[in-house]
Amino acid sequence: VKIAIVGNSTLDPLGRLLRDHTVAMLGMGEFPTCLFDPGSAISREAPDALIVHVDGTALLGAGSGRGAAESVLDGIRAYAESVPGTLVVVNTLLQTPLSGATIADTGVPKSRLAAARHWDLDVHELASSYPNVAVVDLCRMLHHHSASELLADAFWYLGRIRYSSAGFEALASLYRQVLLGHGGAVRKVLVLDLDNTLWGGVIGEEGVGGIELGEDGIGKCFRDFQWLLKDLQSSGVLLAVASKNDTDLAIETIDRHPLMVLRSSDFVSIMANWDDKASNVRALAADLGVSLDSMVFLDDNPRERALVARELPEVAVPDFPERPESIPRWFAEQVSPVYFPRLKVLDEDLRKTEQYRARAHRQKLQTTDLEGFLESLHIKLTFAVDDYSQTARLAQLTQKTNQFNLTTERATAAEVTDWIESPDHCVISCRYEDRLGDEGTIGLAVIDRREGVLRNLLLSCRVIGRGVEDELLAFCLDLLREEGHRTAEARFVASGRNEPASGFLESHGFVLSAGSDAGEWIGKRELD
Amino acid sequence: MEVDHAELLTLLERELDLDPGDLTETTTMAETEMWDSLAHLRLCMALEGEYAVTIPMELVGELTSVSAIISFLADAHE
Repeated sequence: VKIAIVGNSTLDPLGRLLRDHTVAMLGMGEFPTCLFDPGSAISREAPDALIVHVDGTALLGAGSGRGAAESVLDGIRAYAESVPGTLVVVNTLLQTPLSGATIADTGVPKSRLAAARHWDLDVHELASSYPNVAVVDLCRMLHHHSASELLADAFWYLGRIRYSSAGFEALASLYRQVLLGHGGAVRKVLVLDLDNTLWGGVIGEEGVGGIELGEDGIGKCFRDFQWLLKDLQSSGVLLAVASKNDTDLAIETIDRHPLMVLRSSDFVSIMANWDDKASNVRALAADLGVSLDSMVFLDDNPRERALVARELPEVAVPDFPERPESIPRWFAEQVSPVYFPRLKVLDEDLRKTEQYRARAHRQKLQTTDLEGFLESLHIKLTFAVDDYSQTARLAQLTQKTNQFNLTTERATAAEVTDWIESPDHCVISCRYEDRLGDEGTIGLAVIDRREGVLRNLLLSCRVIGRGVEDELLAFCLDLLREEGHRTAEARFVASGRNEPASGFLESHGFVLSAGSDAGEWIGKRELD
Repeated sequence: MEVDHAELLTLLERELDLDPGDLTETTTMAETEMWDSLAHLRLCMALEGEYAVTIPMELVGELTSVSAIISFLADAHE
């Protein structure tokens, strides 16, 4: 990953710790002007990520200029708009800026405390307005260290270095998590045990009424843990259960216990049986169509953890706290940010559980006859042309889709925006719904309406084989016809992984001839 | 404090982006190109972290040779 780092303190030690990436450091003197300047290195060379690291005391503390925070925020806004392909990572403030006033430093608008809190809200606001701005919460640095261990006052005065060696280490690991989340190398499924993991006690022994799950004491530890799991689930992570239990008793407890936060609809699968857990986890991966290295397994029983870790080394198996009161903090600080670092949550992510449940259901229906199956689904497709609100999702589709993808041409959100804005191009997005659920936007095509060319067409593997690709192509060809074209041209580029798309053009009347690049085919057909 | 000179030289070489063996016990900041003022602060921070010492601000500017660093560390924990 190509990173640039800029800020109002000396960040050279941070850059050194991230040297396994390509790092460009900008001087303090260039901040924040470089954000506005279209001629600056970060504008010309658009890195993958720009870390804007702001020191709160330097920005807002005694002696700092008024309006400095606004100008930094304006700079981030200007940069995010003019370089939409770069992820801008901006921080909340670690500390309240030093204030010489009394403890009661709360008078708005002069209060430094208020200004610092304002900054934190403002950066979150930016992140929700711009798809390429993300916030990193520096308070996470305090999970493992005290503030005094992290900061280095002498070096601040000697050379504007805010952090100690330990501080820079903590900072670097935080940014690493962020960059990992951006690269998509995150896990997708969390598999959970039930007894002594989601609640205290053993339902098989104590019965539904006897377990610890409530608003006080030990029961509250588990209930709080469940709320955190619910948070994670809402951000698009799939939850599943693997428990040695009787299925009926497990489901009865999950759905009937009055203080359960998670209900069976929150899980993609509840595997409560007496098979070994490694087999259950392996089967779940196959059912969901995800790889083992996208799974995390939580269980209070060290023997079960050891078994899964040994049988399925790709699955992450963190240790589980000994004490129930440690579970919520452990999960929030050491599990969720480590295995599921996510910078942005898209609308599609919010419906993940529903979609995967519906998919498993469709898989069952499909085993009967195909035509009857498709009819029974009542598929509803909605096409949109040049829809700005879909930019982030469409870019995500070009990045992730490998199988049904005519050219495997990847695009950033910025490039999708360019196509949308270009008078010659049209971006067609396709949304899929059926009686089992809403899959959201699952297909994309780009056409050049001046030249009469289908530049690309792709479809998420979730809906391949249901005739969606035919409808999407027909929609594109209609658009070209309306533009007055009598012939249409399309490209297919074999990637080694897009086999499912290979016969598609020919089956729709395109005559293929070899293109100039290896694996490239140009298809032509008449438009009647 | 007993200071292992080889260990110290390795630490300094790492912080200054030098190759093993580039520094000796008589090297000074003035004759070492990579040992600039920013690298010097970094190096002092690393010493604080590694040897659990605090370098007073006014001494930071005096530790400008390997020998000065060795004698500072030797005195630090007496």
